[in-house]
Amino acid sequence: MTILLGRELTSPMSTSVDVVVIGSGAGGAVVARELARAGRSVIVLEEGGYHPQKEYAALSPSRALSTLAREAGLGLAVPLGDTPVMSVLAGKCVGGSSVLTGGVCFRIPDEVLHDWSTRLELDGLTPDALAPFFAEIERDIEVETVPESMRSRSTELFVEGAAHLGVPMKSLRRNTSGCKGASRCNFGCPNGAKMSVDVSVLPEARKHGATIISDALVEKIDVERGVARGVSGRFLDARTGEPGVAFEIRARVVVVACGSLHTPILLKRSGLTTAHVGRHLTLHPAFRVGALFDERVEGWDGAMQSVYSDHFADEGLTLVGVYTAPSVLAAAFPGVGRAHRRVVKSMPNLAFFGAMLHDDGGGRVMRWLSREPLVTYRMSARDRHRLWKGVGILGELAFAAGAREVMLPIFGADAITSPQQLRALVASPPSTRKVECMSFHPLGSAKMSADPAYGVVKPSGETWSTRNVFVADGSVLPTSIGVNSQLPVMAMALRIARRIAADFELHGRLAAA
Amino acid sequence: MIFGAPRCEIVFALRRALRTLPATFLSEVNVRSFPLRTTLTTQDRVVLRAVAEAMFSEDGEVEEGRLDAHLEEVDAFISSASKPLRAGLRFALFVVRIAPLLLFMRARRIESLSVGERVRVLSRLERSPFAHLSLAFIGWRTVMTLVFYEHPAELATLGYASDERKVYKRRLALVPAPVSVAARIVAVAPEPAESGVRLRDDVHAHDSERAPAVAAKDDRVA
Repeated sequence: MTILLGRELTSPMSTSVDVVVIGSGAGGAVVARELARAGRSVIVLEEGGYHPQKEYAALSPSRALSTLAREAGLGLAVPLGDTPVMSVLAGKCVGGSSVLTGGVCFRIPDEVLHDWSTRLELDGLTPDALAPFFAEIERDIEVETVPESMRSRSTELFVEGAAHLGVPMKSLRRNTSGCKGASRCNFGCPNGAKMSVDVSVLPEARKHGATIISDALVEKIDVERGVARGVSGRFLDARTGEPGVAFEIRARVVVVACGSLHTPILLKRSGLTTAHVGRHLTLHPAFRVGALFDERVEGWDGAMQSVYSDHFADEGLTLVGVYTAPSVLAAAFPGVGRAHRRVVKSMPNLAFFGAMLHDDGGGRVMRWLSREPLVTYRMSARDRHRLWKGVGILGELAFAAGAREVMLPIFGADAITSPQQLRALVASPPSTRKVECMSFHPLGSAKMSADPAYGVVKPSGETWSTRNVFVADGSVLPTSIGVNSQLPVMAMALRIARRIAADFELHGRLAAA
Repeated sequence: MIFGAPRCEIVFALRRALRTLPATFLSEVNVRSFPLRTTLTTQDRVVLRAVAEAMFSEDGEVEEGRLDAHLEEVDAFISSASKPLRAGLRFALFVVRIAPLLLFMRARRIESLSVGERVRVLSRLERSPFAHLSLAFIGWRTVMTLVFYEHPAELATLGYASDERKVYKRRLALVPAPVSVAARIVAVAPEPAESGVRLRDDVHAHDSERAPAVAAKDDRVA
C-alpha cells in the first residue's frame, strides 16, 4: 500500500510492472483496483497532487479549486459561432474529478444504450449486459437515494414550482455515506461523506498492492513496432510545478484514463492518432436561474443536489435542483458596486434551479501552448433552441413557486419580475454568447466504435492503433448520455478492466514479443 | 543595480514585505500553495485594487488592509492555472484598465478614475454588446467575488455563520430508536421511489439488498 509524492522524488526512476494506469480518477481507479485484485502489479500515475480527504475538507472553495482542479477551475471551452462561453471543470488530484463532483449517480439511460448497441453496433453495451457492472459499482461507492428530509428549502421550492406546473420530480441517488448537507460537494466534501474514488476505490487498490504516484506527468506512451512498451514522463518540481526529474515505466499493458480533455492529448503526443482523436467532445452544457423569494431560503442548508426531473428528457433537458457555496453563487451575480452588493445581500432569500442539456456534441480538444489543451465548442442549432427552452422552463418554475424576481443566466441582464417578461425574452432571445453555462461532464473525445474508421477505441477499450493500449475514462463514451457521468465512467472502466484481466496473458505475450 | 543588489531582488524583497503587512487579514493564503508562484505584477495589483474598490467598497465599507489581503488571495488562486490562462487573465485586466478609452473615448486608465466613475465604466463594460469585451470584466469579477465572499466576516453578513446544518438534524430525528434489525431496515432504507432516469425494475431489487448496509451506516452517523 503505497502513495509516492512525485514532487518529493529527486532522482530519476525506472521500473517495470504488469500494468501502468495513467490517471487516478473514476476510470483509472477502478481499472487499477480490478487489475491489482487480479494479482497484477500496477502503478497509477497521477499528474495532480495527493491531498488526503482531511486536508481538502478544510479548504475554502477557491483553495479547493486551485488545489484540486485543472486550471484552478477557470478552464473554458472557447465558443465557436453563436455558442455560450462554458467553464469546464475537471479534477487534477489523486481521485480526479470524482473529488469535485456533486456525487450524483445515474445509470446510462436505456435509450442511449439502445442507440449504441443498434445504430453504432457496439457489442456488449446493452442495458442487460451493463447492469451487473452498474450494480457492482453502486455497491462499491455506496450509492443511496437522497432522503426527502435532506432537501434544502431551495430544493423544496423547486419541487413546489414543478408541482404547480405538473412536472414530476424524483429523488436523486448519490454516492454518499453520512451526508450532513453541507451543500458544497463539488469542492471536496467537508465531512468526508462523499464516496469519491480516493476514499472508496483507491484504498482497496493500494491494499492489493497497487502503487500510486502523484505529481507524475506522463509525456509519452513508448510504442515500438506497434506495441506499447510503457510510458515516460517527468515528476513535477516541488517549487515551480514544472516538469523536472524524469521517470520511465515499462509495462505489458498501458491504460490511459486522463479524462476527456487529456487522453486525446496524450494519444496524439504518442503518435497514436486517428482522425477522431480529440473530436466528438460533448459537454452537457448546464445553466441555472436564481429566484428571489420573500421568505428566507438559506439554500446552503441541505444536500447540494437532491431532486431531478426527466420530464423533458425527450427534448434533451434534465432539470436538477442545485445549490452550492454562497461565494460561488455570488460570483455569477450581475452588477457592479452597490448593485452587486445588494444582490449578494439577498442571498439568504435566493433559491437556484438548474438544468442540463443532452447535447449533440460539437466540441474538440487540441494541443496548443501549454500542457493544458485548447477546448473549442460549437453548439448546434438544436441545442441552442433547447437551451432557451430550458431557461424558459426554469423561469416558469421559479414564478410558479412564488419568486418575486428571477435572475436569468444572461451576462449583464437585469432580473425579471413577471412571467410575461420571461416569455417575451425566450420568444426573441439575445445572442447565445451572452448565456452563462458550465460543464462538468466532458465526454467522448476518444470514442468507442465498431469500426476503426469511426472511432479511436474498440468496444473492449483497446485502441484501434495499438494493441496493448487501452482507454478507460469518459472519453470512450461514443455519444452524450444526458446524465451525470461518474457512475457510467466507472461501470465502463470496470467492464474494460475485466476484459484486460481476462486476456492479460495474451497482452503479456504480445508485449514480450 | 541599486546599492549593489539586482533590481529584481529589491522588488521581490519589497513584495515580500508588503505581503506580511495585511497578514492579520489573511485566512488561508498562508497555506503554502503548489506550485509556489505569483502571477500579478505591481501594475496589475494597482488595477485590480481599483476594481476591487469599485466592486466591494464603493462606500468605503471595506477596510484597506482587507482589500490588500484580497489581492494576495486572488493572486494565490489564479497562480495554479496554466501559463496561457494566466496570460489571458492579465490581458483581460489590461482591457479593463483601458475600458474608459474603449467605451467613452477618454484617455484615462481605470485606476485614475474616482470610485464612482469606475463603477459607471465597469457597469457599461459588463453590458457591452461585444461579448468578448464584457467577458474581460466578468471573468475578473467572477474570480474576485468568489474569493472575496469566502471571508468569514462576509459570510456572516449573509447569515452563513458556520458549517452547522439544521436539515441534517431534521433527518436524524427521522431515524427511529433501534428495535430490531428488520424494523430498522424498513424505517431507514425505504424502497426508493425512483433512482435513475428510466430506471429498470432490477435496480430496485438491488437497492433492497443493500438495505442492511445502509442501516448500519446510518447508525454510525447517528
